[in-house]
Amino acid sequence: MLGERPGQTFTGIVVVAFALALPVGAFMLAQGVGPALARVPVAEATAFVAAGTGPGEVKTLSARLEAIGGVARVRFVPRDQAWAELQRRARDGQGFAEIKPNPLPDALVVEFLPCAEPATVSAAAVAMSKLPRVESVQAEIEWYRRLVLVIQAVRAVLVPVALILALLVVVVTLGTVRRATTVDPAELRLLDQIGAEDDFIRRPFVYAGAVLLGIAAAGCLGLIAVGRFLANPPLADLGRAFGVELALDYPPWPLVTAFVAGSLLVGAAAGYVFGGRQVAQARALR
Amino acid sequence: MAADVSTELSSDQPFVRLERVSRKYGTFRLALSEITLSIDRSELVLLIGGSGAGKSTLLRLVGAIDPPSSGRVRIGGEDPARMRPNELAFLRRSIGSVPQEPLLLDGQSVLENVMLPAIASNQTRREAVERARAALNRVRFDDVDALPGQLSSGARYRVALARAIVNRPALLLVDDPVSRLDADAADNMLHLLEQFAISGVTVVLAAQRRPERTPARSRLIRLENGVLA
Repeated sequence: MLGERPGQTFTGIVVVAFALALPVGAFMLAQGVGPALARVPVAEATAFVAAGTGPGEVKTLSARLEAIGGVARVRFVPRDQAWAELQRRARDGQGFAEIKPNPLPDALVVEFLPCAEPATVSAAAVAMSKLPRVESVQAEIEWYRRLVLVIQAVRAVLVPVALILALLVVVVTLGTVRRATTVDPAELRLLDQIGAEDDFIRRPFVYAGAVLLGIAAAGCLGLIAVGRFLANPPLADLGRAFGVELALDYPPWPLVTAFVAGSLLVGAAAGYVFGGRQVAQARALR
Repeated sequence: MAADVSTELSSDQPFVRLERVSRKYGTFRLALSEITLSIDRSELVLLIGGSGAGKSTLLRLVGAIDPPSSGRVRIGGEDPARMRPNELAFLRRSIGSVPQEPLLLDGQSVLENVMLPAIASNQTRREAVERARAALNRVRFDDVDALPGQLSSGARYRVALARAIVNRPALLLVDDPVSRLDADAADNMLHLLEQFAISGVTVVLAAQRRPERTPARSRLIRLENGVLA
């Protein structure tokens, strides 16, 4: 059946391989890049410690900050370290050398949980400012609020886009199996006439569907391998620019095996159904 | 030849029985009207009628390919219209049909085409090949590896006949072979059909006119405009 129209069969396999590569590629992207992207939007707030606060009080203050809702961790930045860092970053180090003593206070930098709600961050900043030995709190929330809104908007669009793509994959895959397993109704009537049972008539359709999707699944894995080879270097560069590790990894072997086996089964089932429909249509033409 | 139809017919019951059978195509075209007909086992029936008389339609009803629009058909005592799909498939395996324009599968050799009914009835490939070669021998066709596209219309007809007899049918229906074969081949075919009838196969042969040599022990039935004349 597939060998009778080799050009059409080959085209169908290529089309389905590309269609199947979409969800597989999306899965790999989610696995490889998703966790790294989830870490990107992290809000921070800085609590400047009042002058004269002892180490023990700083430690207590740090613990109280960690207990505030939405806080992931607290990092202590001593005033000397902050001053050295400021001098290092400044363009005119001469000007800083003349300022004595160090005017900066000790600081406790609060990092919030990834993708924390902006309202949570605002509330935490207010709570921080009310703690004893906290002189002031600096929290730039507006950029974070805009970033979270962008992420939420993208997610809201991604879901329907993913559903549409999934539907397209199903339509393309099943449509290709149907076209590849179409036979002359006269041949089906002949089989009917000589006393072939339904299972006998449907068998070639089942085999053809399974072979078509099985080969397409293997082709899809090949496409994925090529895509991974091409995408990983630029992804790695992008990740380095943001201080995260970005890479596409192959799905686990059990999942790959299930994918190929599932493709074979779906192809066989589709062939069985389409074969049955063609037989019924051929009989109706008598 | 062994018959594969499982029947419990008594010897006085006809093998094929049509009771007031009509067949209509679409709304208006009445191909057969109120045909009542009996055919006994091992009988050789010549069904004679001009073009459009309804011969092919009658053969399709007798062969359980098409159902009647009204009336009843019984083959071996069973009504095909009341059978389940697998029962109908089993019945059809015991009927060999050679239509006016036999369909051969172009991508398969003559041998594979003739083997098809044997494979479809769950014979092993080896048995199917043996049966197919025997059937082709009977119709005197040698080029088993030829493709249908390479055959003349007469050769295609003989291959179709071989395919029809490969499963040793109890009932053989042959639609207008004479017009497709030269005189010698037509005579050979008539002789062959006589042999089948003698060996116990019920044979119905449709033709536009009576053959020059009417087979012995045959019955003539005339059909005109869908009714028995």
